[in-house]
Amino acid sequence: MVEKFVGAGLSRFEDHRLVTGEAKFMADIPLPDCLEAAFIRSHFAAAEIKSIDTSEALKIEGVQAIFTASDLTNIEPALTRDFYNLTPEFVERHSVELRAYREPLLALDRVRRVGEPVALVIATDRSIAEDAAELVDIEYQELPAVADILSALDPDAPLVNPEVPGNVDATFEVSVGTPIRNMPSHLRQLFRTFRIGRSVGCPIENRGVMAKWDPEDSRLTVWSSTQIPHLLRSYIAESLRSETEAIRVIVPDMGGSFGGGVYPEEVLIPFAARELGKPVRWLEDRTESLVNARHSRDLSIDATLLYDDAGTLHALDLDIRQDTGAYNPFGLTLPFNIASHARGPYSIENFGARGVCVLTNKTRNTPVRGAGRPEATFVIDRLIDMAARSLSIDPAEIRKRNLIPSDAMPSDQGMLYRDGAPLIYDSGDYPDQLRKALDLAGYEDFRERQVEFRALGRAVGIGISCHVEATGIGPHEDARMTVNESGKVLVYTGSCPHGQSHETTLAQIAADELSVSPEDVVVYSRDTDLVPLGVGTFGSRSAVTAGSVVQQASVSLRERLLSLASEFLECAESDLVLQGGKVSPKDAPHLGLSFGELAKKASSQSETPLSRPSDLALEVEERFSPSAVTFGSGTHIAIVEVDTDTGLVTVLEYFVVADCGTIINPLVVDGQQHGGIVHGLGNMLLEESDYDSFAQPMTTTFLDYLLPVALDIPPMTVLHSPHPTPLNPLGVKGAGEGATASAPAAIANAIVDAVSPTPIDLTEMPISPCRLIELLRPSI
Amino acid sequence: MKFPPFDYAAPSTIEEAVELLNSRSIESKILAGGQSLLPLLAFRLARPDLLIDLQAIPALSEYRRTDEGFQVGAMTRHRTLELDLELANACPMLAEALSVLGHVAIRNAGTVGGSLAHADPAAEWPVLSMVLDAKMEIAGPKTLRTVNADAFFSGWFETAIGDDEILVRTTFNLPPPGHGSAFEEVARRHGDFAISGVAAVIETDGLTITNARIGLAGAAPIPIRVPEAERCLVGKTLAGNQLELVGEAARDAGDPSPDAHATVEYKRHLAQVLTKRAVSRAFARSISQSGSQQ
Amino acid sequence: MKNSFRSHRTVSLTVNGNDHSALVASNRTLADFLRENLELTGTNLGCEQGVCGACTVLLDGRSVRSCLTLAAQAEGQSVTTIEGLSKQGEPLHPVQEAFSRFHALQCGYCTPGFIIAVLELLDEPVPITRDLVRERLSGNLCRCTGYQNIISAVMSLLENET
Repeated sequence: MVEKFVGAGLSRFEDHRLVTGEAKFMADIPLPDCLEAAFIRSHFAAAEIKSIDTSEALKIEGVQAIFTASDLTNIEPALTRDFYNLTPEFVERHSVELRAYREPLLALDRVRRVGEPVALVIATDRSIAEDAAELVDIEYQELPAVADILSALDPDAPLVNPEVPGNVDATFEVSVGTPIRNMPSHLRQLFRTFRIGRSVGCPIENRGVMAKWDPEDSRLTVWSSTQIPHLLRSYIAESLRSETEAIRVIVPDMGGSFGGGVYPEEVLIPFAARELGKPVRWLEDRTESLVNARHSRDLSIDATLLYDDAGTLHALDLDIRQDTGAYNPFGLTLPFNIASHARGPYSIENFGARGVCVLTNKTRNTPVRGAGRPEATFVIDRLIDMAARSLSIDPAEIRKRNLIPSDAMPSDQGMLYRDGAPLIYDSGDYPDQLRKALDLAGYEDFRERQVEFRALGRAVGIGISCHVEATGIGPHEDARMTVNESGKVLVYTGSCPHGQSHETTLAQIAADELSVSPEDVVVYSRDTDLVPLGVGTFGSRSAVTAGSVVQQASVSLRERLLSLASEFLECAESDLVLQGGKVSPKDAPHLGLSFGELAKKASSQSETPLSRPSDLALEVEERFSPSAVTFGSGTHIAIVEVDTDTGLVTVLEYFVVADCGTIINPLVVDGQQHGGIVHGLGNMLLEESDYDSFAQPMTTTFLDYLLPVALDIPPMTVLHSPHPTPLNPLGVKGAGEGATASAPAAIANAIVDAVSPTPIDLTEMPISPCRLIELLRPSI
Repeated sequence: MKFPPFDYAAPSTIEEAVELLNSRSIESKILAGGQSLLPLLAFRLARPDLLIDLQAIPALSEYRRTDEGFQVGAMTRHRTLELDLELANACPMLAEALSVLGHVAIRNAGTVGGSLAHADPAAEWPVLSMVLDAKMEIAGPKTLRTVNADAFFSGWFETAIGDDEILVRTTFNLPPPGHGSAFEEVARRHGDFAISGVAAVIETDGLTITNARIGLAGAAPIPIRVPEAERCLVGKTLAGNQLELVGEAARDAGDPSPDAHATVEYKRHLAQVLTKRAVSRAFARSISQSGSQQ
Repeated sequence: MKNSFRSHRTVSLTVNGNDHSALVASNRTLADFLRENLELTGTNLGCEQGVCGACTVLLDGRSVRSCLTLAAQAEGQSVTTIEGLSKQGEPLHPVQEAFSRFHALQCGYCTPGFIIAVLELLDEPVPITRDLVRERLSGNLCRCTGYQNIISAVMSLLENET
């Protein structure tokens, strides 16, 4: 019986270095004679820069240089490459209009947000750099700023970018079936404006960039906390007017990320290193991070739902307005994701959505874990609960009536996804998933328990959310695989894990195909010299894209091993078997050759014996290009208690039934579920990155931005009900963001259910205890 | 951010510390546990020239129980009191307050004296000192004077400690056995700064309340007592709409300020809710204590 | 500029059983001393304001935020960092092993701080219930795991002890 590793809950290979503290995160990497950087950032949301005087600062001992925009000659002084590739068909079909993106590396004559980098101080240590930064004298002339969507859209609003009229940076339109204005007027209608607050990705490690210029081979080595090392390399090359081959990007062990892009700091630090001819390091601190990195959500959504007396949903119409901040490299990604996920797994034939990205004088908006799915799910699941209430139907019942049935799968949603392919829910059984979730949560029993709770004066409620999650977006992922002379299988892949356990999961996939133990597979990534081609890890894509390409490459490698062994053993391939790291004739295992021996023989047969060690004949390269995204799904059920005197909400129990397709490592997938749930819980109850009306950030420390802690979490029970996708050989779907999609909605619905004797209209995320009391007691 | 530069001294006597505080024409700050001061330095909101660390002065770490209550040298760590289980039994209000004062790592380093001198009106020790009639001993260049808690707090993060003085010891009075006490707090997460906090100490004779002390944290620039609420209770039992009147008095007391997490109305509402809870529990504990006394 | 001097002092302390003595700036934190003077980079910095707990170490057996401790304050004391739990090539400490077994870490950045906090928790002089574990762990932030597996890892250590 051959042991299979896909599906096994192996402990991770990553763990040893992480639990011992031996791991090298950015700040741990020793780089001799490295200088330290500190950024001088605008403390105005909108201002003209009149003058910058660095003379006093330059006198401080230890200061090496202070760069301003006027020093950025010979390079591209701004980032202009955006993060979306829309096909012409998509642009036409969805009436896309987009402004060009341009974000200065260092502000030249104008700042557009608090935190915008204005100057870069390089010194022998960080403390000195900060001391010097305080002495740089910058004269600003403050301008009026816009701090929210409504103000920005006002006809008299000041323009964030003079080249963007009306502060509207991007728009699109989706229309499926009958437009809402043409729907029958007898249908019941719900209209609400949903407010989704701004939140922050907030990994525990802050950003960092380190760079070293090697004059001998004219190459820059750049370490950065990025999820997309290959794209970053292209950006740096383009900006610094260099060749991509002259840039090496390395991603060290990374303390989480949850969203990204390319930031000006990632170009400026390499620039400084090249200018000074010395290594330079920038380590972001927490306040800098909270103000400048990974801002997301921040939307206003006008939503209309049409339904009938039987509870059948007929139409959904959304006006989505995103507060995109001062610069918009992601274009319409976030609001289009909302439109793409807005109907969830529910059968709604008529759907319209219009999206607008609005510029304000705030930090740029970036897709962060969930990236539109939590927002979309919040809207539809809140509306469905409201519809249920209006009809006195149980929220579980109304969902049963509206979930897409399994015989309607795959289900074409009548629009394109942002990869340009038709948006089709490829596999899943949503009604079955709901049934299982209701069972798991003891939904029927809960209603009885609720009566008892109420008799005791306790406001306890239950809430449901059903979501779909597009995963595994292209364009592609790459892998190269080989075997070394010790018999180890080496995998070089473009994925960029920062907690996702790829060193283990990808080894499991390779181990199955090659009939070896995962310990004998070593996975390399996050170094563009080792892995010249790749895309990266974001959008729940790696299990699908990296997993599939490693599976493909493993199959190719297997074929290569068989073909080589067949040649060396003078034996037909059909008579050979791979087992335990050896290729042997079926009836004469003692005559087999180990992988290591095959590797030796392959390299000695090579025609150019002096070729580079990586020039083994025993090497394969593959690329996996998904034809479309694959849809995972989940049903979440939350039981919460509301203290109606203080407004504090406790999540008592939490249940999930999830379809993540084929599961490579259940420990890893469950870990993603837990993390995603708690992230969503944070988004619903604790996390908000707030700005005042002058676009000044108010949330600048870890006592303002509240991440959930251990006492905030419920016991979480996760059941898997996988429906493998036909879109890749393993049948995997992504699992990184789905749980975040449903957690806010499930908790919100549970809160409303808990206090249902006092009906409240909950249309905002997050909700603080103070705000909940305001909803419960309008008179106080 | 990294700390701004400063000099550091660790004197071994109180006199030395006072002398250092006064002998140089520079700005000095006292370093106790550092859990309130060092974050200010991390944000570069304070730039002292000299930090005077008190940890090497043994007298300041003395902690002892007395017949009247307990005495804490200014450098006594929160955790030392938390681990005194007898004190916890004698005064559950203290155990409850300490369990939500930051986290263990903060309580290991932070000090009672530091917390009182920092005088955050939403913190636990300031309001506890008000309901336990604490007396603060303050050492200056030529003096050692005592200030009562109700005269100690003078404004937002301001106390009666002069620029040339150091808080050295605080004496807390516990009511005689048979009293009941309770601490209530609402924070966004466990261990966070309180949005609103209430400390209540109730003494009873049978079912009649003979003494009531109610303190509010976060309701004003300083911790406050609520005499209107206390008067409602003395000489009465906790029945009828007594608790409502107490709650209303707490709601109307003080002058709360709005912040990122709370409006003024919400803070007042919390003061009302938490006072009712604290008083109810303190009363219940007192009468069950008195019961066991008989 | 107000502060035109940087004073230094010699700090002597024991770290993971080894004595060290160094001349450091008075404003150097214990965290930076460990990470930069002693190259013990296992202790991580997440906020430098004492909230996230990633920098937690033991000082004379008690957990502290090393980012809110001056190196000078640790004079004459004994520090335990994550590196002190197991030596290279030797088996992992039971807490480290439990974290791996229960998948109580993903990116691993917060993990050293958690492990140190758990060491202290296991020595608590009160009965350790699941609720107490959750309360005590609330001083450390994690963004990846959602905490459940961390709690399970700790509970497993308690079971092994009884």
